[in-house]
Amino acid sequence: MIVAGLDIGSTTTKAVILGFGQGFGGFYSDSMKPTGIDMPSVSKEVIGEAAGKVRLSFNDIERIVSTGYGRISVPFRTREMTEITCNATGVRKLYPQATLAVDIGGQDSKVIKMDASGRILAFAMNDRCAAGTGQFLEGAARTLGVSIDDLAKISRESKRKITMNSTCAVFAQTEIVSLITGRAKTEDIAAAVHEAVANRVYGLIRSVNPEPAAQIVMTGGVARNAAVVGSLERMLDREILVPNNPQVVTAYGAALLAEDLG
Amino acid sequence: MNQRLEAQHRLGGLIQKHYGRAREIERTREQPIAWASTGAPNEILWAMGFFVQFPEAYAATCGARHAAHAHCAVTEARGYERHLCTYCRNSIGASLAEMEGTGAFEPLARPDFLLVSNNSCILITKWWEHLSHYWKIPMINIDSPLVVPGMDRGDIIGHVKRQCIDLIQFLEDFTKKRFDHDRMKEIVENGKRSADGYRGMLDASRHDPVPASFFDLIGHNFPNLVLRYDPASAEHYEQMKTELDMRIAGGVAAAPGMKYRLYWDGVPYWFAIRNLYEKLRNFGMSLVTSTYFEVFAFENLDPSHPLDSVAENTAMFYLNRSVGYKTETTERIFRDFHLDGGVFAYASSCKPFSISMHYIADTVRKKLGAPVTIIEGDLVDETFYDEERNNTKLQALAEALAAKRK
Ligand code: SF4
Repeated sequence: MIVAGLDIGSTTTKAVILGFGQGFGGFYSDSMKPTGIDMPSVSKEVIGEAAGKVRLSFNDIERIVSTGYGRISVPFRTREMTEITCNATGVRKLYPQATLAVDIGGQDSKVIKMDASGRILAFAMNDRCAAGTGQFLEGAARTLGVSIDDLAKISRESKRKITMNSTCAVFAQTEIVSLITGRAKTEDIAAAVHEAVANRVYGLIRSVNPEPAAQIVMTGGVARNAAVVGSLERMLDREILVPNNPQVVTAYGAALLAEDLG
Repeated sequence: MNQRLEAQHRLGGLIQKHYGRAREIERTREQPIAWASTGAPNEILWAMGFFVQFPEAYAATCGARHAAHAHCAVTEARGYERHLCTYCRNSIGASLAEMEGTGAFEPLARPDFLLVSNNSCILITKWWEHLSHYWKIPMINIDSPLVVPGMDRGDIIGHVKRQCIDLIQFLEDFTKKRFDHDRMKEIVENGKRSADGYRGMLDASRHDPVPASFFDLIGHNFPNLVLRYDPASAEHYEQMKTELDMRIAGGVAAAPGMKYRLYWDGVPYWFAIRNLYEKLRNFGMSLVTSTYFEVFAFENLDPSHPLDSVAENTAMFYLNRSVGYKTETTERIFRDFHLDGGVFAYASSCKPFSISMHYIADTVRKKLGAPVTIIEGDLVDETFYDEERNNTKLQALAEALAAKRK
């Protein structure tokens, strides 16, 4: 059986292909692309690319579970499921002890609290404001004139703590401009930006009231940003586990659920 | 909604008749017109011969008919901020549009007097104060202290009753008419019968499959709120009960094939009712009942003690009760109505309703093990409605309910 998990996020579309059962011995492949406006075409391409890596094609996929905000836009899905269920499934497969999943994507951040058996107890999502998401980081990087990857690196040089007052992504841009005008150092502003994102996510985590000993796993594009992860670890005073390829964990969970559909 | 109740037609007729009568009285001025808040001691107004209209109910109607936006824009143009209660903005906006002749959506008949009680929230008194200022007419606020642990129930009711007596004196001067105790008794009697009928309608939803969903029942708050002084209201509920009982006996479901029975918390997002109904139905979820109905229950009316019971009704208004009381009521409803999960509808511009939502949702989830979700939107301001995220949350609720059944 060959199945795919397809996570159509606001900025990136991710696919994971799993092969299992007799004659396969099991394989894994993934791929991703910017979402754009034509979600069905991009989704087909991403699945096709992932399939190509294991010398298969889109037509070889037997079941597809779609997730993410574009989940109902693809007519070829076998079923759609929410990012909440898919992310929790992916996280638990990688970390069977995890009881708190934190997923920060382009425009969404969510926190999922699970019990010891992996059952979802509660979840929280950011409101419309993009403050605790990747978009906030992107906007800040653009205003500072650096790449998003450099933003994290630069912030390591920070010596002076600045606190950003704006919790809104739009106002934050204005605040960054006035910090630049006020001759604040780029590295200090960069550090403040990460801290601001971490702060919002921290609030979201607190809202589900996690167990003090919860094993925390962070996924989504922003999990690759060591500065945000580091800030959050300091705030929580706990280690946060980040898988190798944090962006595809939700798609991976969707693929696992596709496998289960049978 | 797909199996239309006969009661829906009758309700339409009652509503039309009320608003038609309002237009007539506005023209003839044969009765004084009052605007009142839901929880105010309105029996006194009816007994004094007032024709009573309800700005909150009007706001809900404007929301459902997608007309609130235009009214809110009038207030925004004057600097009233967006996060202010949208019922309030709708009402002030519609009033201003009326006064300025730019026209409001099916406006209420122009008022002579305003009655409010702070038993729903503090802001509502400020809202009425603005109405009073713009319409240049008197208003009275009935102060109703919060019913929280440690407060003496008798003291609170006494405090409200004293103000009811002052209100009667004021209205006697205002209308140049004597207060008629017999008429008051009759009105309380009608109200009691209406409130009993209303409860009977709600209780029918304990049955599985539910004979009428939350969406079917929601409009039927209107008679018990606006017309309970009139025997027509009680008659409406009595006939409705017969119809619901027939459905129960015949095994007729409001929507066939539903897998999960849900609770709704908060004021409905009026503009999104159909959209939500369809969404939930697609997930096999049926909205059964809500503590929102408690706001319109008016259960303390007692014709053997008309004034005391009206004061008690005002003081014990559901929104005036403690968080503990509301939590217990919610838990009881979950048990009595055999509910599987809950949708808590956060309203961005109504903090009084929304403030305890997280606590109650969390308690229900922990104590009863029921999956719940908190969606985000507003009573009437569509721009606060977060459709994408709400869809995900509702689907996640369906997935959690399915996982629990496994
Ligand atoms: S309870 Fe909510 S809707 Fe009612 S007046 Fe107060 S803020 Fe407005």
